[in-house]
Amino acid sequence: MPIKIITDSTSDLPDDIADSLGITMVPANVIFGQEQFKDRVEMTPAQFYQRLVDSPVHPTTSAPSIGQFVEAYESVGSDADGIVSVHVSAKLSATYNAAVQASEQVNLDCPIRVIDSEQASMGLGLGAIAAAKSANQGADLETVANVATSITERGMCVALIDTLEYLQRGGRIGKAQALVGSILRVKPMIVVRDGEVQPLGKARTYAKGLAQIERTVRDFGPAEALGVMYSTDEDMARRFAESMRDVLPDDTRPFVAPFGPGIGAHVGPGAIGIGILKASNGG
Amino acid sequence: MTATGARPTTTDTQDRLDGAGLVAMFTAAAAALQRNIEPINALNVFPVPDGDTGTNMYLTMQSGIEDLKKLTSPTVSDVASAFYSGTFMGARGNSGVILSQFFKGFSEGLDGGAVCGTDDLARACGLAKEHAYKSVANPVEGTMLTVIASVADATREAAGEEHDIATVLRIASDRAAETVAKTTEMLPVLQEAGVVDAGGQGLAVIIEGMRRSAAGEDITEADFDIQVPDIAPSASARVSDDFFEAHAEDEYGYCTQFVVEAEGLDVDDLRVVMNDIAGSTVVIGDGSMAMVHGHAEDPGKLISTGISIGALSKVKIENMDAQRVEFAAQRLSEEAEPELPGGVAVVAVAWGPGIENVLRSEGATHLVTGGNTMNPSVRDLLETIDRTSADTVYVLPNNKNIVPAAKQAAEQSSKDVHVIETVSIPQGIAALIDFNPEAEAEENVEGMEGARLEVKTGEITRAARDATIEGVDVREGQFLALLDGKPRAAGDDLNPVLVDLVGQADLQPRGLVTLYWGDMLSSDDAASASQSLKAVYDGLQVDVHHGGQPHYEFIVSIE
Repeated sequence: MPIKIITDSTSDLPDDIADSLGITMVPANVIFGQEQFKDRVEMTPAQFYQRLVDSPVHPTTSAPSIGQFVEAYESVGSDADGIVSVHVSAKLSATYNAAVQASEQVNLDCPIRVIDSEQASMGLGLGAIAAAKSANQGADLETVANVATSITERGMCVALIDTLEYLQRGGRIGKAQALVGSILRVKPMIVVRDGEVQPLGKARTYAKGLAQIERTVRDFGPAEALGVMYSTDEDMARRFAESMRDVLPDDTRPFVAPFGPGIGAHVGPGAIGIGILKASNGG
Repeated sequence: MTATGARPTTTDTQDRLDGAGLVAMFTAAAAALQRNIEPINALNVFPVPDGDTGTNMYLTMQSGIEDLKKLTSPTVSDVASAFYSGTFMGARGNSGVILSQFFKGFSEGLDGGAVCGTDDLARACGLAKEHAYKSVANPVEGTMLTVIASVADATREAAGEEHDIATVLRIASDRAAETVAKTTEMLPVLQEAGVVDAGGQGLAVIIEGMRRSAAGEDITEADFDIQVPDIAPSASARVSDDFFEAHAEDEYGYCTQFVVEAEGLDVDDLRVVMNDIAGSTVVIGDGSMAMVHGHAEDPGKLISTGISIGALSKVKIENMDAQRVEFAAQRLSEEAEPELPGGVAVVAVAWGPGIENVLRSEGATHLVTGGNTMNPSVRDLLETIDRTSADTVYVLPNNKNIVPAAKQAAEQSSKDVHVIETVSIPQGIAALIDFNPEAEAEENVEGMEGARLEVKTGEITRAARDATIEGVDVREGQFLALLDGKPRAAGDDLNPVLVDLVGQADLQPRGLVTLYWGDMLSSDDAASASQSLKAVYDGLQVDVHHGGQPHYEFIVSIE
């Protein structure tokens, strides 16, 4: 029996890819005032951004409950040799803690390895894909867990944000606080590093911001996988993904996917990001 | 050789100059320059308010004179050395920095000497030339440097045959004047504008002032004033505020300033009168108007003297003791500001309250006031750099003419100082946006230098005189637009000139234009300008911010 991969919806993995690789995604919760929605299950990204802009109430997100994880572990555990449960940075979300507690409470025969990726969005998602591919090739628990753990070194997630407003409201700004206070309308760039949101810089136009992100990504090294995320401008995301294709092997295509509400509530409309998984051999 | 005619002369030739003689010579040179500040300022290649060469050179000389006051029975070596250190710290603008390096060489030539003969003078001028050329990365002929070289040549040639200091200086002064006249032909920009080089003219005035002192002649003689090239009254009026502010320093009592207007005004007479009743006097103007500045225990005397001559306006009286207290308090509050992490500070030169706010919001920790018509001195910059509690300091001069002083200040400071060569406010802001307080200096310098070159800078001001420059015809009072320092458009109406300017800037798709509006405009004017741009350029993003800068209707960042 194979090793099963579980992640959470902040990985921004497209559903079809998760399904085809047998990855289970536990949804985070999006809350608008009194209403609560399961990320991607009860609310699509498009519906979410419409509401984000229109609603007088700013949405909040909450980690999946311990119960949601128990349910997920039980549903895959019966026909698995082990579970690798890899999640968004514990410094950004309570998701990892909920998963750890669920893994201790659940009564399964197979072992569960809960891993803090120290990453977010596609930085996490691409790592989950790599772990799933390893599992599907028949690797043992230790090997698959090592692949998932390697995200902390090999994964990177960078975003260009149209406005800091949403990140501030969401309270997940961390060291990116240094970007606040500008009179000019600058577009901050953030990077998830050491599990935290850190400032990468700022730019006054998309062209300059994307150029800087491109440099950062290229400096990071040749990639095994790459995904471009967007909150509202899919065209820009597709153009950017195309321009970055050469950091990937010839037979590999970049993913383009929306930031799900878990991330979208913090970056807001107009954001564009890139997740990258550095090549594991020689890269 | 002896002078002839009615000139007051010394009967004996003088082959040795002592320390007191050199003090008198420098003092006369500074006074000579002071008399000619305004005509030298008017020798502007572009008819826009920018680095005022006469003002900068005079303030640099004046700083040297201040340091001479501390000396008692000095040798020529002491005098030259003190004068150099004063000019070095007080150097303002390109011309001031070159001038201070001239005196650096001059003092090296007289090093260790009690008195100075013509050979010493020739050696001093030769070293002065060497240092002046070294102070400029790419020396250009047809400028102040060429005049300095001619003075070095003339003194060297004359010193072989002449042993009278005044005679050697006369030969040098004559040669300097000839060279100044040739500068127009040597540089295309000067030829097009029909002017001689301002810095060269200033240097020639200095040499002539020294000559007159050596010859025992009175520098207040009327024949001393250099020819004024079609100076527009509006230009001198605009210069006044900044010029006065540059002088609002030191001393005691009340700093008093006003403008007096009267038909048939005799500026020279007025200067003599003001000199009697006030210190640090500056009186500049023309036949109908004069700006007066002076420091006195009783400001009433200056005011009543002014009223007896004509109508007063722009009267400003400040208690300098109170200013000092206020300044000290301001310094304390600046010290209390949170520094950037890692012992890093960013010193930026700013111009106008709105621009100051933007620079602060983008990460500048310390500001130095200055800009196109008011260049801060090396001392101003150095004091601010040293006032920061940071070990690593980045300096943004934000003006072409302030870059040299910033570099001098960086060399002088014991801190790790990096000058980013920003030549405009938009470049300074672009560099700040790229700045990362946590990055290594090398990375920041590279990033900020790259970022400053990615923006284009537009400026719109009113022309100070009629001119045809680089294919742009402009009449006095019209709006004149410059793109990265080059005239590009002119006209009677502001918005079309702005639209024309932006159109020539190679707009990027989804480009961004940021307008900083000056203190003579309202927010409605700025909004109307923004609409004009959006109406013509589809998809252009226009951001409008209060700049509050003087003289320039708009400073424009195009990226």
